[in-house]
Amino acid sequence: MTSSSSSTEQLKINVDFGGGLEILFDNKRSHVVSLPLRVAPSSSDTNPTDPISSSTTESATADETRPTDVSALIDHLKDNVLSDRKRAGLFAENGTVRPGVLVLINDSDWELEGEGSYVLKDGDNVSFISTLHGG
Amino acid sequence: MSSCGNPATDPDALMERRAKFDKTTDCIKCKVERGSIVVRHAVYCKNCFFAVVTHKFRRSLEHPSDRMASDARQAASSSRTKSSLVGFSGGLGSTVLLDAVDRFYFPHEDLKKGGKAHPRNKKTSVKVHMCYVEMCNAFTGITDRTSDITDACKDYENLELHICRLEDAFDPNWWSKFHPLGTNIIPSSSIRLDDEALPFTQSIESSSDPVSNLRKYLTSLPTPTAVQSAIKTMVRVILLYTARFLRCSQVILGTSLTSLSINLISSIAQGGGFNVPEESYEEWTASSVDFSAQPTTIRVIRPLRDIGMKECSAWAWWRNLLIIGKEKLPINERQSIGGLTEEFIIGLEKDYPSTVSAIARTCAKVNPKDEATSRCAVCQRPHPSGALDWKARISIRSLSGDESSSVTDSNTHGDRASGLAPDLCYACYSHFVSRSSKSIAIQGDSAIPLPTWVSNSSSRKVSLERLKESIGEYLLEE
Repeated sequence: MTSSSSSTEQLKINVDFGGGLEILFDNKRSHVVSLPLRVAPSSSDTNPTDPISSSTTESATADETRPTDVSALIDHLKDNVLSDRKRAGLFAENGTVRPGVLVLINDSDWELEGEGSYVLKDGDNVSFISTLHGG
Repeated sequence: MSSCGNPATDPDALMERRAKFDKTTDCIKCKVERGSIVVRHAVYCKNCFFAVVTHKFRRSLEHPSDRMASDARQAASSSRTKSSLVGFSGGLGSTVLLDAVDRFYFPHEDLKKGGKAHPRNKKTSVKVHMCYVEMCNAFTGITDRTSDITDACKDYENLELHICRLEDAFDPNWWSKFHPLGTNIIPSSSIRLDDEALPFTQSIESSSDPVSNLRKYLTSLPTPTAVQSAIKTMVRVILLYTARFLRCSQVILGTSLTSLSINLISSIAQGGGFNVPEESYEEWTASSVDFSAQPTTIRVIRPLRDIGMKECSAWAWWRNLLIIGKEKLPINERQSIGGLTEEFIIGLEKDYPSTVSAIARTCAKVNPKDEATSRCAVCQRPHPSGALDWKARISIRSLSGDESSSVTDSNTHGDRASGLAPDLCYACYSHFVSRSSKSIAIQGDSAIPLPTWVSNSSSRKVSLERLKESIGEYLLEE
């Protein structure tokens, strides 16, 4: 695989929302999302407030990318798919899902798969289910 | 995340994020299948998850005396012969509860185990009701969701839906069905918040519109915490009276382990420490109403109290249940004890789920030191005497020289006699007399209507004879 082909290749990820979370995403429960195979490092990988990490990584960040993982999917959903932007905090905060949102990767708890660091594969199903809808 | 320790000498100093499960990703129960969910560090496959949750549900549904039954058949049979009212809000917990209750009382073919004769596999002849309390009229701009709720409940053909409204708490017509002498003599009661004795008046005149009374009551409460608590109390008491009317012996609520922990911490923070046991299990008896033909005591049980929100969520997702969701009320939750506690507990559960479970388990061992002497006129829960004396000892309610209105002064027994304060538990009393900018604004305001059951519960209630006297000329001789 050449670098030019990998940059254009896309992952198709099936995303579902449940437990009332779909309200934030145009009231649609199922979405298909296209993501690149690799994405730029997240802000948490190079902490700008940490002088040591920012100075050592400054020269390398331009070409460094990471495989697309669930954290990248969450960022993408928050930035590009979320329709109710005023209530974005109900879905994600601090680079991950808000406490109280259950994530299933291929119908399995994301805690078994490494949470946000799970590297996505083409055709993966990721479900976000809110648990915050009361008793 | 890192600590101040030296990682070269102390490997734990880096405090790297640990896996949230104990050993392997295989199910700890069947040890064959790959796990599908992590529940407080334990991994379960989907089949074992449903078995474990169902077992916890059944165990919590049983009365403590049922558990003394010599065999499981007796216990299962005993639990399923009680007529029940299921509280349904459209939220996650109650949606899972409805599904689990339906499967428990009316077992589907795929769930039948233990032979034809096992009590678990017999359809119960007992009526199971579900009740939804609509609160759209509490504030302006809230959508009425009764049609959504009705649609969602259509799948449960064995359960009968009853819809109540929050304003029923103030509606004499609604309450007349619980009263032996009819609508006309149900007294309405009100208090004034500008005096800490909470001067209490009753009248038997027909009261005004229930919706306007409800709104006046809620807008007069001084803090968001008090408003949130008042709504919760009204819903609970309406469910209890509805259960009474329907001759149910138990009310089943969808309080999950997470919600229970939130309720416990929030209640204790609001001064409800005496009622810690009631948050998970309570028995309630209606007062001063003729229910001689009906069961005397209703028990309130929460069969999801050992099942966390995460498990409820996974159950609902895998069972393909539709969650309607609870309507967001215009209460600033970031300024209420309940809202702040919820945010804290849910954040805690993400990384430390066992700690949330420990809250509920620790509180289950706590019992109040004093005996209850009566029931609170507002929340209908038991309370000990001396709540006002306690408040007098632990708080300064007025500046020196300005003690005329202070109910907490031990010399003001005269004021107490005419006020509602002695009939309230510490938490309800604190809700009414909390100080805030809003409470200053309502000083001198007119009387605030109270829910109808307060008249029956207050020790200063109008006697039946006095009520009969006042309408005597309209009564026909026998």
